[in-house]
Amino acid sequence: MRIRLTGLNKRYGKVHALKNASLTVEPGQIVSVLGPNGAGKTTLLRCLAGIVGATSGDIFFDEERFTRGNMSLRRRITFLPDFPIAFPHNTVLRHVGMVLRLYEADQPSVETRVMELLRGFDLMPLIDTPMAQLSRGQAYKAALAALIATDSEVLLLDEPFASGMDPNGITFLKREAREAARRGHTVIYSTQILDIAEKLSDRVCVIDRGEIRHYAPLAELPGVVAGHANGGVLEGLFQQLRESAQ
Amino acid sequence: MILGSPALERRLRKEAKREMRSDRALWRDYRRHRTVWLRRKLRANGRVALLFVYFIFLEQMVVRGGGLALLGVAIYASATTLFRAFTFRANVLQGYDRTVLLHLPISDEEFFTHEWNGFVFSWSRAFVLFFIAYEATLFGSGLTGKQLAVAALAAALQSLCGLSVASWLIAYVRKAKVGLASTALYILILVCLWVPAASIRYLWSAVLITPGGWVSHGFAGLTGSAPSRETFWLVPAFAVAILLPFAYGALRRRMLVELTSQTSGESVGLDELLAEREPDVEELPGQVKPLDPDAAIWQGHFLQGADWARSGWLEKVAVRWFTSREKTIAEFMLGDQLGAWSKRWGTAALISGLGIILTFALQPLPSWVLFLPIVAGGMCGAPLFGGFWLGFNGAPASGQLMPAYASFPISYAEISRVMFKSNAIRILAWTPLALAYATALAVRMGHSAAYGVTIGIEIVVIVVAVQPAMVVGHFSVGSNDTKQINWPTLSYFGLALILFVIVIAASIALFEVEALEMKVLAALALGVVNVVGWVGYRLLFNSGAMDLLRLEESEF
Repeated sequence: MRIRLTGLNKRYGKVHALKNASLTVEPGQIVSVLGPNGAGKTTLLRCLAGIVGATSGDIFFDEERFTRGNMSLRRRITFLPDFPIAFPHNTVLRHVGMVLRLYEADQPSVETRVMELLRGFDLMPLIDTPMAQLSRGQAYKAALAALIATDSEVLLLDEPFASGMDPNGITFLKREAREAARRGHTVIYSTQILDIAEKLSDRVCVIDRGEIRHYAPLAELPGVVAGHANGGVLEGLFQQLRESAQ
Repeated sequence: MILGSPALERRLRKEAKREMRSDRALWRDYRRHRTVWLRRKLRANGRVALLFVYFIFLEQMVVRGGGLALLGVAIYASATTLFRAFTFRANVLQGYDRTVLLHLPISDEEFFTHEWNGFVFSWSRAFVLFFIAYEATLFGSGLTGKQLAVAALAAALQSLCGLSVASWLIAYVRKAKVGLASTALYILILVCLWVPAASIRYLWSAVLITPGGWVSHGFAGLTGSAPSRETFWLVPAFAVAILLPFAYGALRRRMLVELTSQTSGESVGLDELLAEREPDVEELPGQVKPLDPDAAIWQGHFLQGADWARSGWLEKVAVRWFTSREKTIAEFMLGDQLGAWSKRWGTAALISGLGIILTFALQPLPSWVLFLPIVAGGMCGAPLFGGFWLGFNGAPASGQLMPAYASFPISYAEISRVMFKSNAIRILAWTPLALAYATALAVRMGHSAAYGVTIGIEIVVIVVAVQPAMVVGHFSVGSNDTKQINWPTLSYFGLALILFVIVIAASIALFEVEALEMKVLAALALGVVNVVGWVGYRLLFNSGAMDLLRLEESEF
């Protein structure tokens, strides 16, 4: 699904969380959203998910204007916040079933896919464990498995690599993200881990104080062009940002 | 143990501000993010509102005389002792302080002392309430001046007695239905205002089973409100107060054992408390039984949803009316826990039945008291405020709360439809209870049964008509609509204000006008206005004029 933002602004009272954000994400791309704490990364993802309404500007999915009330579009988008939302008494399997039904993706053929995801995220022994009894990482993996199983065209993830997932879960998520992109799905995630962003992004979106400073493939970022990087490419870019802010 | 370092904080704040002032952008950022002092204070002192309620009841009790205020103090002392005791126990073993401080280099002894100091300080607030109450009774009897010291002494004794008894209770009683007992006592204070004089006399004697009663009796003897021999009751009260150091010693020893067991892997406190709060998954009504993992997935059981046939009768009726999609939404919004509607209806039936009996048994009561059973029954049996839906509960999301439904593709209309249908069934089931109580009430007050039925129908009509507004309220609570100032929200709240005035006028008209046609017109107006409010909010919601987030009222 093609995503296009035009002049998106979001204000929370005095705080201008997003300033005139414009970008286009083509189908099949993985986009990492980077930026300092409080830069507006989560706000951007929430706007795309319809949880937060833009103060001005528009969001288009496949050139169709997106609003919270547009349910046909919302069923094609999944969003996982930094803390997964699940009823504590629901078991993992019950949670997966509920999410699939909410997305109307509960056709019988989904069972093979669910098995694959549960195996991949090492959740098999936990399927009858209530969500409340899972560790943070396990709960996140369960919520993620449920959302991936819906096979939505857009996957929005807020800080998935700071969710407490174990290395196997992270590796599996990366593989799933690449696989989803290969099928033409779009994955947008926020992160603070630059190494991951460097390896798992078709495009990098750098936000600072609500403004999109850079939105380009990794190779075209100014840190690379100017040869500014001391360590990783993105570390150099962040150093630049900090210097310019000061 | 002092949490925080005020002097260090002051120095650091001063230094940080000095540095930030030299950078305009930093200073602007700081001013944007800091909490306003007044707002912080107002949030923390929201309980001040409860003081007004306290003063109103105290004034009523003093005015009515006959030792009612002293009886109230005695019952309140017992209720607050129970309540504070078990709240303290829960806070120490599984409160926020424990959660936070467990991970810091603070010994269990230091932690307990810190909590105990807070507990003692909380009793100083109780002392103020006791003192005001005792002083008010003296003032009501025309005694002032030197008696001030007597009131202060009685309040101090009452507080020390309470603290001592609470400590013994915490030390030796680990489990008790304290919530129910203390609530019953608090309600008893309220009821005292309207019970016959004979019952007051009986209760005045009955409170002697508690130390709180001893102090009140002793105070009455000392100030001449009761025979002077009553002063004797101060002796055992004094003895209980003197035992406070021993009570503290026993409490400290026992609580430290429990606190230590939490960290030594032999938990006897926290796990048990948690176990009580988390029901066994297999026991939940309407849940699919766990199966062999592979079988559970391959047979698709997890996709089938909850088993409504195993839930209560009201749920069974509701599910017949739901479409497949609505059933899914209902399960999600109820948090997949079915059966509560039928249970609550049963409670409502019980309350209404007791209300009918009490209506005839008690003396003539003020009209607002007479409506309490119908309100209490309604709160249980009917969704007066739209019902309880877990799907609206907020989940933490980057320092804010996001309603559970927000991140899933569920529309405003879908949730509303489920609520309208289920609430309609619940109201319909509650209607006979409401009519029965209203009829009994009318007869008790010397009106005809038909008059009671009419009033009952009018109440039901209002409950039905305001459902759209209640649905809006649920959505509104999970959003920041009142804080997002833009044209759509301003327009909606302007409209809502006008609609609210019409709702009030129509509700009054429904009860006051005699002509049936006018009553029907008022009911229709009520319904239409509420539907308009619901439609308006739908436009607001769908357009994204507000966010599905609200600020978290965290205790941290």
